[in-house]
Amino acid sequence: MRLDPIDERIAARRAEIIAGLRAAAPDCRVIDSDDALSAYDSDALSIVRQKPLCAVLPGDTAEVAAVLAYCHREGVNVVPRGAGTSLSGGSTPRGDAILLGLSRLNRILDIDIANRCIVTQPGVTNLSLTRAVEGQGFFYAPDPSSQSACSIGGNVAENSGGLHCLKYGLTTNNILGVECVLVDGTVMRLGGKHLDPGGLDLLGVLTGSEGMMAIVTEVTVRIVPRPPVQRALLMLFASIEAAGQCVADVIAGGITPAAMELMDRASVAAIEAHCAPGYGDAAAVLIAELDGTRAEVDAMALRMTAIATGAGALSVRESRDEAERQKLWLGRKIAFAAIGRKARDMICMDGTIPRKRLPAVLAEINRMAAHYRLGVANVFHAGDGNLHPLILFDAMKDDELARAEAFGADILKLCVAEGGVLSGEHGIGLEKRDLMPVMFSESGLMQQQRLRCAFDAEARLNPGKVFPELHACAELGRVHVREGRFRFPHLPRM
Amino acid sequence: MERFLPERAEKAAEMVAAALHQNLPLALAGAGTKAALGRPVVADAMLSSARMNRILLHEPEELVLTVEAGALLSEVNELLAKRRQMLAFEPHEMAPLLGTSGEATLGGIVAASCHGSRRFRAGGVRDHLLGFKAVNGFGEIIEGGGRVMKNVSGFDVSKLVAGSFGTLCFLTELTFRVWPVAEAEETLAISGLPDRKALEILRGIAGEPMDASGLAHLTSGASSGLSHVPDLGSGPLTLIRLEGAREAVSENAAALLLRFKALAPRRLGREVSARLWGAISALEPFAILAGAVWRLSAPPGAMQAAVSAIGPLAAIYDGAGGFCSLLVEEGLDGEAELIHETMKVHGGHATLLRANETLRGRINVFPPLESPNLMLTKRVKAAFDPRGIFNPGRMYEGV
Ligand SMILES: Cc1cc2nc3c(=O)[nH]c(=O)nc-3n(C[C@H](O)[C@H](O)[C@H](O)COP(=O)(O)OP(=O)(O)OC[C@H]3O[C@@H](n4cnc5c(N)ncnc54)[C@H](O)[C@@H]3O)c2cc1C
Repeated sequence: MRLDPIDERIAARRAEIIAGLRAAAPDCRVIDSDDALSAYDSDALSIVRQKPLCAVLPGDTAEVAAVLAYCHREGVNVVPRGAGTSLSGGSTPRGDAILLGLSRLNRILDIDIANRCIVTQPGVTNLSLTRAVEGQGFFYAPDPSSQSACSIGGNVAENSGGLHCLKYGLTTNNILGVECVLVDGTVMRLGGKHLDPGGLDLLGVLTGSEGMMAIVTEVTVRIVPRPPVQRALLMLFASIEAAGQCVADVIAGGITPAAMELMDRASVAAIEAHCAPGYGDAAAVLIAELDGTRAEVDAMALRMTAIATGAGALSVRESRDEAERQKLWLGRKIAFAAIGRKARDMICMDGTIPRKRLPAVLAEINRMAAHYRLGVANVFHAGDGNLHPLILFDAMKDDELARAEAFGADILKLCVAEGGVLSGEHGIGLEKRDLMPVMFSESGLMQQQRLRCAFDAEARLNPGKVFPELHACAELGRVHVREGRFRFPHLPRM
Repeated sequence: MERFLPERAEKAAEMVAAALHQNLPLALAGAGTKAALGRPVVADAMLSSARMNRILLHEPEELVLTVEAGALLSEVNELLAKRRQMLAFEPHEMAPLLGTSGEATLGGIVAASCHGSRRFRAGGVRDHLLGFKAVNGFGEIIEGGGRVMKNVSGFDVSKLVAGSFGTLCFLTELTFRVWPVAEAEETLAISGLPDRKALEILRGIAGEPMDASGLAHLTSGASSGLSHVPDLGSGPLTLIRLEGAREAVSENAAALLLRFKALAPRRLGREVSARLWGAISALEPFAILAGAVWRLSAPPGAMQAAVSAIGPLAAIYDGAGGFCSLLVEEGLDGEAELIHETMKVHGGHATLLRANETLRGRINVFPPLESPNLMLTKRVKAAFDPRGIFNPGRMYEGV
């Protein structure tokens, strides 16, 4: 995992570019001191660091547009940044690019209960959206574990998920519209306060485009009525296989819990040592959340207990009150931090597999861990097959970083081989960029890049992310007409 | 028009290459049931997926289904029903409404983004299409997405393909997530409510945490087309569908009955309910009536005002007012501009679902786009189909 060599011609123009930006957007904050830029030299993938040319913090859409128009005219690269919590290096800065920070666009613009939506600027944190409407009995459903820090703009760019996306969907299923600025400074709207944007679904493809298609300057999110009852179910199993079978049976049985999380023994041990949620000792701990009306939750809890028992659960326990529910979830929520304390460094992988492959994939991951001589702990969003193996290492020790990266790549290749994908929620970014050919054919990858060309013909927005190789748009757009065996008979050439 | 029916994606790719070589525009189709949807396409040949009709994979425990694009909806529904599963976005036949013949294919359903009443709750085609394979306008076989629900690997091209009306690529294979059929289903029907009052009630319920999966209101002009469904009464008809665990559905139904006691609600059991919502999704009441049909999307709170400004012959509100289908007199060009303009003012948009070919050639079938959006749409089209050989002009001029 490394940054490409930077374009020295751009880096050499640093002073001129900073002055140019200040002239183009006089009210925009431009940070250029070396000290201050240290705060902006990486995102949450902190093993890759580089200071940007400068950091630019616009205060409104017009300033975003002015900055982009300047960069477009002057051939300067732009790396967008929300809160910088990307785990895949989505917002890793570059020395030949300005870092465009959206954190000052931090106001909620409109809370529209009648139409069940919120209009917000992109720098607002995910959690603030729920906070803004919970008094009226609503919430914003996608809830990444980073929700108190990450921005809604970053969520749109990454199509982020969370514990509850099993029932409520990812970001893309929960937004209605955006205002965005194209690379040349053109401001446009996609969607609105209604479902289905009309015409081609450009909103759908912008969501999850990792800052490579446009800068999101406003988002309209759907809000959902908060279910009156939430209950957690704690299930212990003697093996991952049994827990995996339970997950499959629950889903196939027509139950959609709000969340369903699985932890292996290594994870549970680390969590117990950290905050003692009282999971008990078992090879696999499964926590499910049921939500809805009381009748619904009672009914589902009954069915789920039966299924778990049938799958060989050692014990099944329902949370009796809100405090107990919170306590059960706390352990899961601090899992990364708890496991992270066991090693100097940690990387969090993020593949998705078909649910039923879970036991086999886990066994293989543990085998790989032995091969690479590294520790690994596993937490899964089991309900949707999203794995988060946490690889533990010490970057200061001999070749541990290289081994950890190779281990991580092997895990993701395994996910793809099992019918899954490279990333379930963290995005490709810099981290998984070079693995894209494992999942996509050459033409499939080219098609994605052509799509990017439609938005950004010079690849100025977040260059070097997602795609392993840079192709010029002119080359990508060329049609190679070949004379094949097939011809349309009777039809003249026009 | 000559029809070409490849049986494999490779063959389809060869045909597209030949079309590129001969500079031939192609009409793309499944079974052609939606040929009368969109702007008229002028093409010499048709590329159809009708012979690519196999169901490739159904893993009930994974909730996943992969089919070739020409697979018939009826066959897929039958297969899923055996395992008590379904495509939750309620795809349906459109031939009766559009006056075409044949049975819908999944490819056509995806391309036309054909979804029904559960859309507002469960999502539409875009939300259930996990991945696809297709031939692009370069003659290459491309793929997008995957077969798992949670996937952010690369751009989400599936979203773009859903609802692209064959203007971007020729779909060959589709992977969907499927849902279990709810354990219980019941519908409450209330007759005689004025539109405004009915929509207020439906919006209120949409904001409550009971799993209402259908919230519709039909004006009398529309409800009269449902006379074949028993127990509906006459006049404007307001419908609330509940789905979920048995205990939850009966509890919620009981609560609603009590709340709306004064309005004399009736309970419709599973069978009638299923027939009824099938008919609503497919806009059956409009199939037997003459006139142009529009589909509107708007903020739910604004829909009723928008519709009354348009003044249709009949209206079917769905999704608690987030959607509405209108029947209007056909043949009035000015009507189209009025509808588009009205929807814009109310923060939504309109798409023409049914009208004669002359009209569809003259007016904006799809929502008119602001200039930057149109330019971007054209660039996106060119990124898939640079020579413009797929369904030229089906959505917009040049797209
Ligand atoms: C402890 C921890 C837990 C996490 N848990 C989860 C989880 O449960 N689920 C999950 O999905 N993710 C999770 N993440 C990952 C991360 O929080 C998400 O990807 C989040 O959406 C990133 O938001 P951000 O504001 O920090 O974006 P950044 O990291 O700043 O940027 C992310 C990407 O978005 C682009 N971008 C940011 N803002 C904009 C904008 N306004 N317009 C255009 N492009 C923009 C950037 O260029 C970059 O490509 C976790 C991260 C951490 C550190």
